[in-house]
Amino acid sequence: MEVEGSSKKMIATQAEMVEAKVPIPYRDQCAHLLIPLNKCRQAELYLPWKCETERHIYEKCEYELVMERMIKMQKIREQEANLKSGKKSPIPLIPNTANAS
Amino acid sequence: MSLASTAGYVARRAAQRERVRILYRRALKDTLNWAVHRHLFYQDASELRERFEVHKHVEDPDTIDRMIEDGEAQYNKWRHPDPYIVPWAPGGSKFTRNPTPPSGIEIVYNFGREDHLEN
Amino acid sequence: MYLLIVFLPLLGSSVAGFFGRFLGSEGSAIMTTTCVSFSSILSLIAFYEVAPGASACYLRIAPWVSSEMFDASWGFFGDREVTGPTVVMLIVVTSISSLVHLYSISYMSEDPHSPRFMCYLSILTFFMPMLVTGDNSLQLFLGWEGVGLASYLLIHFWFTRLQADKAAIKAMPVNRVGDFGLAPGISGCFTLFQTVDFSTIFACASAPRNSWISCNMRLNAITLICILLLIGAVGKSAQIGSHTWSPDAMEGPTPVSASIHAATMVTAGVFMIARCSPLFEYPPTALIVITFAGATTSFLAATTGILQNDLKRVIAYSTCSQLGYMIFACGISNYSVSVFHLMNHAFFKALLFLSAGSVIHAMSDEQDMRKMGGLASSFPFTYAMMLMGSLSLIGFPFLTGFYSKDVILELAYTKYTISGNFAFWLGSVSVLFTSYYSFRLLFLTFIVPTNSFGRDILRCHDAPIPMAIPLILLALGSLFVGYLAKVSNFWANSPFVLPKNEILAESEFAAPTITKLIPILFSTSGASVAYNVNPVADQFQRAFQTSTFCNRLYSFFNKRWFFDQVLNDFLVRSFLRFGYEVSFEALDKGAIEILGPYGISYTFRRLAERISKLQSGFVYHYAFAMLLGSTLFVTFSRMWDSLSSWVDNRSSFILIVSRFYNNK
Repeated sequence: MEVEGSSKKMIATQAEMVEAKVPIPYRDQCAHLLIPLNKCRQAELYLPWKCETERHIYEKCEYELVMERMIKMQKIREQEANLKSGKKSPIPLIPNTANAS
Repeated sequence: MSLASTAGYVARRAAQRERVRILYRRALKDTLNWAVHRHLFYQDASELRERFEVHKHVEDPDTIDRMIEDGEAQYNKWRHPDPYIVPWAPGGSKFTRNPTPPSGIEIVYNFGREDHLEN
Repeated sequence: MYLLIVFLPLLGSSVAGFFGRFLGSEGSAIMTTTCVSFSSILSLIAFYEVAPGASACYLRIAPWVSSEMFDASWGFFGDREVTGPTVVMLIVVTSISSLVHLYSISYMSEDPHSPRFMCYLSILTFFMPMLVTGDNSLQLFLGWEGVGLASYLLIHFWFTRLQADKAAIKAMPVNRVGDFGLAPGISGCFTLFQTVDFSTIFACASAPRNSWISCNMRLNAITLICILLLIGAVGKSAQIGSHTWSPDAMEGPTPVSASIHAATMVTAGVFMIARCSPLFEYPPTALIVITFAGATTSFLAATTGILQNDLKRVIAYSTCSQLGYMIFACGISNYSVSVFHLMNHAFFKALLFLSAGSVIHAMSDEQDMRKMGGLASSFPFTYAMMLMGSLSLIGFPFLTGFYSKDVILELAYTKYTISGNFAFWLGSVSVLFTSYYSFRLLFLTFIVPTNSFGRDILRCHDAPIPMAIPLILLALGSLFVGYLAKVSNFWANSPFVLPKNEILAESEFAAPTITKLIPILFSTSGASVAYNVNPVADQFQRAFQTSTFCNRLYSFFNKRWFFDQVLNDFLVRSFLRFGYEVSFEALDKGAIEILGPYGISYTFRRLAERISKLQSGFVYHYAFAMLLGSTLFVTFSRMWDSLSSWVDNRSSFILIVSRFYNNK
């Protein structure tokens, strides 16, 4: 499922997330990685040095999401600054994500 | 000077001596409250003693009275807000903690095994 | 099994309380310690079931109050999603309480009232799980009042001491002021949701509703309820309005301070906020108020602690400050991190209190830091424990405090609101002061050349075994628990957070690195300032004696910002005067007595005396009375029809009685 403005797709379905009782704030594009992570954690009694691989994959995905959000925010700020000053900068200073308009 | 005024003079000087002694002791204890470390305390105590010794020779009772009042005012100004009081003295942290019960009352603390417990 | 967790301490306390004279101090100590230790082992099993095992447990035991809509029952609530805090708190409370019981066996061995002490400690350990595992707010309130009662009993343990009486009496009403906010909050919940049951309230919390009360501003009902509940937490957890009871509560024995003011009672407020997190998520105003209150408290308590001279008071202010951290962590919607910090704090604060108790016990009950010094060579074990506790407290990297304190500060920064930034800066400055006073404590007590009296030093001894074992266990906890538990806090026991308030991922990646380093920088600078001021270059102390500004500053910080002096003069005196002169003397002893029992009995006695004088013994008096009576009877029976409209039985009775109701 596509999410606008983001290069990541929504892979876990709503039914799966409800089944796995993922907390509402964590039901984003990375939730399909969170579900196996939680299962691993539960199996390993939440010890901090286990489940390294799953945690690394999940954190990398979340990191990319956070970076996307920061880029979007910077673009919004630049657009507002442009609106205020009234001229458009010819050189795109900010990179675009894959699916962004 | 007549005999009565000499006696009065001597009595007044004795009273002043007592006041100075009390003031000096209190100021010394207060210095200990402020200066925690011993080497600082020795320096401060010597300074305090110097300040008292400077006026040792003054004879006139009125001047002495004024100086004592000055000294007491200064002492009150620089008093420590949280003085150290020995724990079992009034105001200390252990005062009347477990006072001895009044005589004539017998309290059984530990049936048959009192020698284990220090009352 | 779950019932045993709650009721074993009650069993221990009733046996020790009622039969302590027969069991003796050793017997009651063994009884209570065994009960509470079993309770803690069982709560570990319950934690294992609920959190990693993910199997909820909900026991509805018996109905308590069921009158139409208001249906409260005794229940044990150990469900994973809603109440992760519950089982964490159970473990914290019962294990620390069992360690404190073990510690007080040897600490209070010379005290003749030791069975009573053990009984009171167990009562505390009973009421706290009752608070924590309640499934409706009425049971929470019962536990709340119960821990207030237990704290009063424990602070007031040496009741022959005037200061202890004053402190206990101060603690109880200040807590009451908090309860004065909590009770309307619970009734407001009931009015709004028609139930006190937590699961129903949390399910209905998201329904939108109109503004309810306006006293010159629009207050949503739920904002009002949350602010009232916050007032309750402020009273219990010694936040800024009601923090005055906490340092005076050091009048109780040190194990009391460790259990009440490190782990149990003061965390009840934080627990209540974390438990009602679905309720607190909806009004953003209430969250801002919580953040401000918590941040201000942590700053105020930290600045007061830097210039205290009593060992236990420093640690008490440290507790206030860390509680401020927990409250503002709740205010920025991170309830699970707050409960995590609660757990960590319980470990290292209990360690600090118990090792302070060991020092005090060894120095024959000398509590003032200015009269201690150089004890590192006399008791190295206690020094090591205190050092571990202090390092953990200041957030030394990779010890326990680091994993919770620094996370809270980062989250506060990442919140990007005014209240979040305010909290971040105040919290960071508090880190500076925290590290300063922790190191000052260590230096003045253990490292500087001796300032103590010879009699103390000659008789000092290191901690005996029953005091050493809890210290070791708590030290292990305060070193490793942070690392071991840092994962389980984030996802498993998550209290409910609105999606727009969740900032954990942001804070991990988006906060600039300097933000993450600021707490460490501040704590190092605090430590170096402490090092410079105390052992080395201590001529700064002279400044307090020579400059008026420094003197006033010292008094300001030492006397807790003169907060309780102001409070005493303006509020407390007038309330006490009202309570004594008006409501006690004028109303209770005055009007109500006269209109009530005393007045009535006096009147009737006098009436009887008067009437008995009619029996004079003279025949002509009796003849006159007979004549008068028959005349009146004939008159009234003939003229009743015309008179009856003007004669009212009640007024004529009052007229007759008041004839005899003269001056007293």
